[in-house]
Amino acid sequence: MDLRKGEKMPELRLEHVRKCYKGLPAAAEIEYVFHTGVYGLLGANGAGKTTLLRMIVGVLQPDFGRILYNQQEISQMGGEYRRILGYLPQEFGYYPNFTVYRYLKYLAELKAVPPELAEERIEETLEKMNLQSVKKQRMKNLSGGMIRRVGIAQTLLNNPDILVLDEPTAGLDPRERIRFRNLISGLGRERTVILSSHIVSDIEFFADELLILKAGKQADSGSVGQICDKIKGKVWESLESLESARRLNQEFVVSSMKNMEDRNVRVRILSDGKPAEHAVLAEPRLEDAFLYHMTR
Amino acid sequence: MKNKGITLEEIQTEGKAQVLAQLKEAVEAKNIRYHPTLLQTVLGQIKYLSLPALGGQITCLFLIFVLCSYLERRQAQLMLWLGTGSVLAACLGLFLMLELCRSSSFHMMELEQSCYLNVKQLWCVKMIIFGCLDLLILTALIAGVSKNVSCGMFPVMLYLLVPFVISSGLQFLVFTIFRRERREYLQMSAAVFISVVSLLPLSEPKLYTIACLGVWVLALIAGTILLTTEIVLMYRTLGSENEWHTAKL
Repeated sequence: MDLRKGEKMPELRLEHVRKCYKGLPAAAEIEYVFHTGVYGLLGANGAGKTTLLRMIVGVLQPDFGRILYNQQEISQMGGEYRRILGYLPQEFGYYPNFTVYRYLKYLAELKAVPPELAEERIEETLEKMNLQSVKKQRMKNLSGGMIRRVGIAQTLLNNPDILVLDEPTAGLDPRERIRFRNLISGLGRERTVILSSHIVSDIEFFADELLILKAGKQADSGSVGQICDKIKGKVWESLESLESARRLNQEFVVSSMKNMEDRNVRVRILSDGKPAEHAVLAEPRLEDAFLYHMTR
Repeated sequence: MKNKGITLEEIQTEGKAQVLAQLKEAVEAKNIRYHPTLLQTVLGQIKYLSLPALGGQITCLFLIFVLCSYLERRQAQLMLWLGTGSVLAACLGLFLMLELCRSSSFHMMELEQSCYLNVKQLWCVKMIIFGCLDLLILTALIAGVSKNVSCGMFPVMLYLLVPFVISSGLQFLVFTIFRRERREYLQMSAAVFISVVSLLPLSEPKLYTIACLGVWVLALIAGTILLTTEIVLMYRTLGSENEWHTAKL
């Protein structure tokens, strides 16, 4: 977190937030405080990531609990809260006949960007997302990756204090993903960025803090280092024959298996005790920690 | 007292540049809060309305002029005037619904709901725009019909407002009941159905006499209640979780 001393730290606080669908909890008693920085939301499908993000942006109301921004309830803040928001929904919609420029202009109006600043902001975001060459193209003619980039671009139009991105890297090619990572790291220095992803390596790269969700519950939270430290002594690596690797895969939680040149297999295992004779302790990675929480 | 302050030259070069740089920095750092007025919002949104919806309204206005001049030349009877007017009035409500369907059909509602001008406000703005257009078209229609029939302006207004208000109410009803993708076709089918139904009173010419004016007033009141209730219901449920594909957590 890059915040100078004495500067008022913006705070987005979740207090006992709960949301159920047909009796099943999509978010259960979530308590968390977001400040300036990049926060990653990790969880399997159906873990409640999207529900939580929707509640944070105010398009869903919690059944119980409160969400406060700088001590004010967001539902009470109304337009003044939405004004400082940038949101990329998981199912990002668009009007197919709009050109990219017209689409951004339309959203700039909805976001109450002053008309005299709108064009400048649109050009800036187009440049940031490398979309200048397609700004006159209709949305329906863009590829999936480009549409996602337009989606990210629109979140930046109003220079938001809170940026909420639901699966932002889905559909981006590796080059764009790197560009996006760098952009997010920069943005996180002066605002709250909350993003969800299935791709652990993406989150690992740019998130200052993580929130791991499992079945709507907060399984763990902290920095990547803190989360990994919690499973120290539980991650093992072993070089095994194919047969033995298969056996270990059935008996233990295996986070990776890699075929080696000598026809052996390097197996990475999560286990409280030593899983195999030749197994040695390994440095935990976020992927291991994520798998550990998902399989507990 | 000796003044050993800054010379004019120094102010013009270093000091001025420094102050200007500070000012620029302060202006850039200031978060300009723009609060568009209702008029600015309405004018801003007109250019983003869909072509089928806006085009349909304008076509209706054009049709009124064409049909009125045609019927005038043919010296048509009261029932023909009222039949044409009723069908046109019943169709008018469709175009607003086509415009409102757009947000959900293209999955834009969730994003729009998170904006400063959210879905509720946006739809209110659209209702104002289309409501004004409807008023304009209905005024032209009522003026055109009443000029050519003998029953007077007030009864004509009632005969044409009733199909308009009831059809608009039913359009909203269909809209709130069927929350699914591509509901435009459903709305269009509803418009055709309501237009046909609006012709039914023509089979009983007695209904268009002074004696039955009370029935028309009651029908107008009932239609207005239906329309108002449906608008309030839609407004209340708008932006609820049903809209955001709740199956996906």
